[in-house]
Amino acid sequence: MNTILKFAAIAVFIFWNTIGLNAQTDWGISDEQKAETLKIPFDQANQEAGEAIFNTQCKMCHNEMSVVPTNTRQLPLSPNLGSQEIQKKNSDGEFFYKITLGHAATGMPPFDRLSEDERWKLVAYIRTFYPEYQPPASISAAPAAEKFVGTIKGLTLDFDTSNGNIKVQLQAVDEMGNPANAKNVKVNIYVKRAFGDFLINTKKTDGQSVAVEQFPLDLPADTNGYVTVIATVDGTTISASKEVKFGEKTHYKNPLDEPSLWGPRDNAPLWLKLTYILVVLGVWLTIGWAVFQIFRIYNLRER
Amino acid sequence: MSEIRNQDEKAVFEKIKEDLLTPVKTKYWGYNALIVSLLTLIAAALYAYYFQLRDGLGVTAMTDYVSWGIYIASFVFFVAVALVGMLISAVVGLVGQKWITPVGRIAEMIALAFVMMAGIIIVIDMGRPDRLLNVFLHFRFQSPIFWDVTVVTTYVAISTLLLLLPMLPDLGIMRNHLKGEVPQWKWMLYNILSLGWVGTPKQYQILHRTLRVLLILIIPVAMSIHTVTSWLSALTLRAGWDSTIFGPYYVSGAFVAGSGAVLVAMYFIRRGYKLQDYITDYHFDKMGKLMVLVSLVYLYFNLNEFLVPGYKMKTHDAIHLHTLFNGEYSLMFWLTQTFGLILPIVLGLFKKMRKPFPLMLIGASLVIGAWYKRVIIIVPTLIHAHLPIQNVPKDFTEYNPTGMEVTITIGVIATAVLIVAILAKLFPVVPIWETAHEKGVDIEKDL
Amino acid sequence: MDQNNTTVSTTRRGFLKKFGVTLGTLGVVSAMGVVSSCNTTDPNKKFRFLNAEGEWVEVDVSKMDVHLTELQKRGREGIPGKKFVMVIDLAKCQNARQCMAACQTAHHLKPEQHHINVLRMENDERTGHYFMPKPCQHCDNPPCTKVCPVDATFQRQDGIVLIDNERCIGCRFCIAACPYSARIFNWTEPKHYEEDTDRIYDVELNVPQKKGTISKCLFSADRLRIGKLPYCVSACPNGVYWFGDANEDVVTNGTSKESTRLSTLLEEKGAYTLLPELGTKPSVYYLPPRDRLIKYNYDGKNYLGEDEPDKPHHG
Repeated sequence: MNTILKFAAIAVFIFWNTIGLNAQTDWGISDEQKAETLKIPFDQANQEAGEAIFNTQCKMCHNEMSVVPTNTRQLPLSPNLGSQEIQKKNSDGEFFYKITLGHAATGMPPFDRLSEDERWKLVAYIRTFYPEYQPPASISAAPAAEKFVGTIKGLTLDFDTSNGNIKVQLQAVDEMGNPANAKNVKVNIYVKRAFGDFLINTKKTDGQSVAVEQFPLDLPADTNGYVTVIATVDGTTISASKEVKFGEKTHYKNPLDEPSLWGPRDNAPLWLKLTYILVVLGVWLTIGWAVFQIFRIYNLRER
Repeated sequence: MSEIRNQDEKAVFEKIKEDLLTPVKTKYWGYNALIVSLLTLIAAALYAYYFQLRDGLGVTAMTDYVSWGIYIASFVFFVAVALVGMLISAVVGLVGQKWITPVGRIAEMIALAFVMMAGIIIVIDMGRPDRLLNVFLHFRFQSPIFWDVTVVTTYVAISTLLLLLPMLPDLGIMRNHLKGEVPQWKWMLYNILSLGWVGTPKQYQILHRTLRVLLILIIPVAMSIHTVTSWLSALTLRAGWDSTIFGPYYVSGAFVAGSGAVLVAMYFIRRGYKLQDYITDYHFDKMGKLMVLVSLVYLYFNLNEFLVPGYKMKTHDAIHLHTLFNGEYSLMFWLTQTFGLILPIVLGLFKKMRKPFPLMLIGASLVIGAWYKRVIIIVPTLIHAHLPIQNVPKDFTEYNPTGMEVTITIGVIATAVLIVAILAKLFPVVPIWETAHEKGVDIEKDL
Repeated sequence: MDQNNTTVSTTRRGFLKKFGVTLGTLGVVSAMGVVSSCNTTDPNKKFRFLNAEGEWVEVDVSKMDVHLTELQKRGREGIPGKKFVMVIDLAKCQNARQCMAACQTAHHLKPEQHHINVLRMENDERTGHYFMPKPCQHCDNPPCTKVCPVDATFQRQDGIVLIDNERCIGCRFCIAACPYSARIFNWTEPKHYEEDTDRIYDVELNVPQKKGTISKCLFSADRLRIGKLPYCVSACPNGVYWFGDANEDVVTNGTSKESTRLSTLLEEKGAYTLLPELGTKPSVYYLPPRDRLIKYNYDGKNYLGEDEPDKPHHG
């Protein structure tokens, strides 16, 4: 038995490695294709459009991207495309054609149903996780967004329960350490749920370090009418969470409170209990009466 | 004049008494052989059951898909046969048929033995028989199993009373006349069971009234026991079971199985005990007609049960019906329908066939057919689940009972036969007092 | 005659009395024997169980009943205010069977015992194949708990249908009643039964499994208690499973950990339930296998490595 298991383990190991090897080598992309470069401007509009596509089409497997030196996610998980190693090794064209053609051995599907433009937008978004990336000279470089350069110290959450507004206020300092307004900083606003935080929206702060978001008021709150809202500064560990009376109060009804055929004995419908008890009582009283008659017969034994 | 008549009466009564009590007093070689062979079968079953207790129900061929097999089929069979007590004594008796006198007690003995075995085989089918008490500690009003436990218990109680009460006058006679002729323990037994019966008019009056009430009571109780048994299947959502006529379908089938069993028992008891004068060709003829009648009713329900879904052919019904009509269970299905239903009706219509020996053969064919019919009701439905059966070993999609399972089942059937045999040896199978009464003897004087 | 009868009746009474006493004693003795045979344990033996924080705790045999009662109580009550639902995206399932493996490991199941089973489906000859993971549907009108004679299988307030194998008598009526074939039975000694003898039974995990009792998918009630996703959901590499609390209207994907609105997901993807015509009201929703990224691919070997024809066997 043990030997069989060992053999099986070795077989699986070899099989796995073969897949791994294939994964690295055989995508069937020609050199001309590899030489292609980004065909659309590397600007914010394209990057954000790419992010939207990524969230619906790719995130399911590739998960969140993050800037890391090497990918640590092993098959069957799909790699973290924020890995600098992967970013360095792949040209724009390689990314584009890998998306286009897919790779059956690793389970990467072909995304040729996305338009070419959409695929290039994805490449643009993926490249935002590569600080060293130089967009090709042939396309007009995007006017760099006004980026906040200071340090964010923290954030506070405020609510307006009358209209469901969530106000995120950042506290930031500039390079000199003086308080400053953090503009154009991405803030993710979540609501806490049982198994994960539900992203309400991602907002950018205005000139006053403030991002305002509307809470989806049809989202259920707990039985007391409260939800926990969480805000994080994108790409950092800075976050804050707070309970607030938002959303629709859950009117929880315990299914076990009602009589039912599927419930425990005490939940049996009254008609069932009554019928059972009455019928059984009736029949057994009659049987009891018959037994009593036997006693009467017995008592008449003397002539 | 009256003196002579009295003497005649006395002679007649003495003859009846002698004839009917001989089996109780005599030792038969054949009977002992039967008991020994039954005990052997039971011992084998106990041995097999020991393995089932030790290793689990895995010794059977049941799997996660076919989770009920021949145990449950046999349970349904036992309940079915047990219903004959109600049919003969209550239904036929209450409409005023006199010919049931020598048949009624046999029917009651069969009823009691088989309903007890129905209870036993359910416990054998349980994965945790050690937790039997849970059924009473944690019972749920909503579960058909709880209803079934209730009605089976009730039926055992009423059947016992219906066997014992009409036997009281006979037991009184036996107490009075058999002292010294049978072993002392036997006489003690008769003495206790006779409950001081001396046959006063008052005693007779009480007896008749009690019997009438019990005979009426047993009709709804017997109907419920088999209806509830049918609900064990019919209250599920499976094709082949999900039927609104399962209750009457089962009850009518039960009458067929029961009359078959009574015919077989009548034949062998008559031959073994030489009771040709009491269980006559006339009685066989009447039983034969009753058998045809109940079979016709059963045929009608069969027609409904198969034609109605067969006409519509809903997805899962169609799969089920194809299995029965021309699939893996078609041979068994058509054999049971032929030998358990069609043939008895056709043959029973001919007077020549309503003789003891042919009727015994027909009866046997009915009983065997009835058992297989229960297998056909239980198993093919389970083989065809709503969703595909996959990622399990191949044998999960079929059911071929193992030797262990068959041994245990045969053992339980043997126990039922053993109980009938013991009852039929211990007590007179044909009521002495009723027979005498029908022949115009006033037996009160004898007591 | 009179005299005779009196003596007879006295002996008769005596006999009846003796008979009754003997029968009664026999009954009591045998019942005690049965009961005690289930409870005989070494008084120095230690028992262990996983507490709510997911740590192993060792207890004396004298404390065992206390902990068992506690586990049973919380297991039967369920988590107040919750209504757990699962959404299975058939377009994503590639028959990786990681869910089945994780489930069998967690619940000490044999390879042929499935709480969750990935089926190969074919609705019609012309409509092609797709993979369909099938756990217990945790119905709101559960046919299985309806028929249970001893309340061994029951639905809790959070909608999860559990099985208490300390109570189950093994009648298998629930197997017959379940139209989804979601229940299995321990026909022989379960896997790991020897190692599990010193473990206190946790009804939310149904471990240790017991011979002669039912087992079934529990939505990993033990994991939900500590706020984690079920074993199968977490094990899926392909993002098939969404799981969450319907009262919160948000489900979380087991692979990407992304959360989404349940109502939106069901609405937009055209979700459906299995065999809705049976009126069982399942808590498991399916998203149709449309726009599949990977083609249906089955190598003819089932989960056990045996040859199983591609054509789905309809029962």
